[in-house]
Amino acid sequence: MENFLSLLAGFQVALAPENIGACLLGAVLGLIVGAMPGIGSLAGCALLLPLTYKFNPTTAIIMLGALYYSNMYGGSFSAILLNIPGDSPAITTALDGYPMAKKGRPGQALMAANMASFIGGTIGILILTLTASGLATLGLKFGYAEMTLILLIAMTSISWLIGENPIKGIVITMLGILVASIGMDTLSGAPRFEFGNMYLLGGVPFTPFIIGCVGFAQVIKLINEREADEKKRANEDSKTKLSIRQSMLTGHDFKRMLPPTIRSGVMGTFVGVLPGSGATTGSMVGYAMQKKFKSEEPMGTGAIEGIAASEAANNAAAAGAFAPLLALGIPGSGTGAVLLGGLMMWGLNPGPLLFDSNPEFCWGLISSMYMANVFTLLVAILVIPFLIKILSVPVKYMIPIITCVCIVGAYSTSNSMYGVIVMFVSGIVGYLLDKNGFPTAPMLLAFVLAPMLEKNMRKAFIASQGSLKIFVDSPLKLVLLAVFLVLILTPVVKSIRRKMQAKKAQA
Amino acid sequence: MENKKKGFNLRTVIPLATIIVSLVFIVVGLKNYGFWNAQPTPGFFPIIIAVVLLASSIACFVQIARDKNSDEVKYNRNELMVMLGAAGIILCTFLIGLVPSCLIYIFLWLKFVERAPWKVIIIIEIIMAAIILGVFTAWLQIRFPMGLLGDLIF
Amino acid sequence: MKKLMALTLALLMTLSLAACGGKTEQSAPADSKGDASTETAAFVPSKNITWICTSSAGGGSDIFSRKIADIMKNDNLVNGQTIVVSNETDGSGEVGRNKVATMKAGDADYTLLTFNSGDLMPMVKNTKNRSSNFRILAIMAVDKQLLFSCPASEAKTDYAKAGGDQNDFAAAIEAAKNGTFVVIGGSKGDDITTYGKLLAEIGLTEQQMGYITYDSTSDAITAALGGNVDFVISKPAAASQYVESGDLNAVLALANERYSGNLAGAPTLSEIGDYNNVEVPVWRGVAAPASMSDEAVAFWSDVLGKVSASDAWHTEYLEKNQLIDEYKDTAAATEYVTAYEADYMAANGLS
Repeated sequence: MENFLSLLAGFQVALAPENIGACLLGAVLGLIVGAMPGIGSLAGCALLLPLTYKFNPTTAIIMLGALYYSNMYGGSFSAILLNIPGDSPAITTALDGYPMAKKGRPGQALMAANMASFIGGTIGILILTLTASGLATLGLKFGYAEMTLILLIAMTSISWLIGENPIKGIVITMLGILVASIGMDTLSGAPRFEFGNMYLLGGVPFTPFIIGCVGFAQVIKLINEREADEKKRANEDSKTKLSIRQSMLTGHDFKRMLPPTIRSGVMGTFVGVLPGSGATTGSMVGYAMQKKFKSEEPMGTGAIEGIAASEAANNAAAAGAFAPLLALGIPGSGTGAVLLGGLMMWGLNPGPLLFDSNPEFCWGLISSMYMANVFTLLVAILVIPFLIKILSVPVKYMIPIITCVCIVGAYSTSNSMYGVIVMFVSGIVGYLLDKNGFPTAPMLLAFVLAPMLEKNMRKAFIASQGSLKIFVDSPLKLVLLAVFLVLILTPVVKSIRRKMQAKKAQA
Repeated sequence: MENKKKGFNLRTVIPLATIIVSLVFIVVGLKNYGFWNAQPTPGFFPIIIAVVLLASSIACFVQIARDKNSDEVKYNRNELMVMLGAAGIILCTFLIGLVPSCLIYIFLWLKFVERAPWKVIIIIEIIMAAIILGVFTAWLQIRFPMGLLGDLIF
Repeated sequence: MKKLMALTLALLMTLSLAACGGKTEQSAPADSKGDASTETAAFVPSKNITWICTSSAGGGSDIFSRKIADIMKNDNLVNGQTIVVSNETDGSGEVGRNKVATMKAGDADYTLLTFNSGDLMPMVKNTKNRSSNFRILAIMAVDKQLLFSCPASEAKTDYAKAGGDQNDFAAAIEAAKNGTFVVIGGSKGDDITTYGKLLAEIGLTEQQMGYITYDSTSDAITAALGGNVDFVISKPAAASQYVESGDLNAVLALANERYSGNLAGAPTLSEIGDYNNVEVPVWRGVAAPASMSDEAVAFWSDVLGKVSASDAWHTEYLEKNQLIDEYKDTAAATEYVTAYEADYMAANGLS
């Protein structure tokens, strides 16, 4: 009750005309920047942060909230239309979004992403409103051993993305982990696997790596579709005009996506609350969970359920991540860290005192998230017809354009040609892998999760002085360990049983 | 291994490459970073992963070598063009700067590879220049490298 | 095609409008005043200045750099030229530092580098660059550390589980000597050095009192709040609000004398036993390429002195971050940094 009264007071702040204006501006800009392939929510937030410096703190943070939020929306656009996830949370969106767009339903795919984001986000914000301060302390209950086990569970969900050839999947996952281990070992502060190269001291930068592996590799493949595309265009005399009306979801679509959306929304919020997990883990777990439920089309072939599960979870996690950010000052993700930097610029120190010392600010921010969510949805729906026009540009003209965008985007993430070279090399590697039937999505996810896993595991070992006991000395840990073992062993047992049955059938 | 006639073919390039990568990580890891010293050392996690990579790569190699049915992977000359184009931009950047390299590349590509009409080329050039200069340079204040030529002028 | 163009143009309009509204000073065309008067003795900037910050945007070093750049611009200390802060984080910042170290004369007069104790240590440890490869222009502020604990947290460490008192560092030293493992947390760089010195002073090994490295101080504090470490090393500013809210307790001042205010309760190391005090100053400074001309060095050192004397610097930076005001000009700063570096290298067996 108290929370709701505070929220109402927050709305009073947020609904001031200049704050509405800031929110709207943030939504539009965030959407555009987030949608640019290769920029994505993290870089987008970082790049747009300076824009807010001109306002007073409350207005600025409302704009920042809208930016953050709409960036998450925007990231899914390029994932769906171009198969270039703007940021890691959108990797799973691309898995079904792009095939669905290819099937001739790009409008509906975007709309489904928007609706799922909106519903997932709303669930996340509602839970945040009710429990903001309580949730954060829950996250603190988790020690390193628990986090290690949770991350192991998250890693096994990668296996669900692997596809028909498990060996190739394992190879690619391990490769992703090894690439991530290049650079500084954060626990000892010593360089590792840098092979005497000064650039490698800082590791392989994530954004150029992902732009290359997914974006540039995609362009190289795109050239083969040039002729097919030409023929298709010649056949279509009058191009079908895509309007908002035609991108509307049917009642049936909506029914398909609602259950995964709600499930992922709730689950995503809680994943987002865990310190250091964030939207990527959220969308992954959401997507992986959906694999366990029934979908009308197989996942990965353009199933609307897949888009819904991944988008709802990632937006809910984005909202959930605000709980530790505001109440403890722990950013849940890279984007959260940028926001934290923004808050500190304003002299606001997120932490246990923030809700007491700056209530109008905290609740203003939370209420602005409701606003941002609505505004972003409206703006996003309005731009769908324009975005779809991107698809009506002939493939052959897109090739040089996207190549340049990849290069310029990779340069801007680190202000150096090193980023461009990383992008180029990982593009070629990604292309070769793809040609040989190795899926690249597991590699990217492993790249993101592995460092977290290693850090937590090593910290657990330091605390236990190298004893394995720390992983089994509490009921919670045993439960998590059991879940992990079940997840890892089920497919093995299943395949053995299948082989046995096959043998029996032969005999 | 089994398939002596065609044991080494293009399809096994990837597992062979990952076998080499995993060996490098195991050797360098054991030599420089250690595995366990009362508690895990920096080498601990990567070495475990590299061992798994080695095992799975070998399995993958065997699997591919045995499988005689699947087609040879086909590489297309056009794909190489895209890569060369991007490599060209990167090399030219050191000479004439990143922005001009991109614009020249777009022009060359559209004119000589796609044989696009002038109107299209001009429109795309203008749009790209506007995006790079307007959004990245002016708004986001990113300073693109000017190259040797740019350094001489400014 | 037309529609695509219309769309793109519309996007661009929005963007450029926003850009105009959002920025006060777009890089104005360089005025040619400076070029006309070929100065002989005194250096006056006549083109844009690049300020390289080897940490990412939004972090402590970035705020430090941008604040100084702002004050320089607002107080018109740089002849109306624009200062562009460029975040170059490749290779954990080593690439950016190396670029500055090897810069040619000419451009060197227009290049500044944020250079902190936290930058110097990894550079010396992991690369061949030394502080002598730079001109140290000034030291702007100094900070010291304390040891904090969170006794109210859930007991997850050996020491806490054994019923150890996290408010009493002397008891923790005893416990560690008797075989109960004690864990200290902190961020990389400065905090590790302080931990090393503390350990050497009280005569314990890493197996008795361990250290967990976090990416940032705020991560380390979170770990303490969650009971994952017994003690956490932090600067006063980062921990201050947790102390105020009663979540963290100041346990030990890592300084030669006690702090004031709400940190006054923390004793120094010499007060709790027969030890010397441990104090590792954390400094924030500005450096430049070794090839910067002497005139330019004098100019920048002087300008930084003016910044450090300004009201804005005191109210908007030092007070906000609870830092100690300690301006050293180029001569004093060079001497100070050289001594600091020699000390660090000796302690880590580097040559």
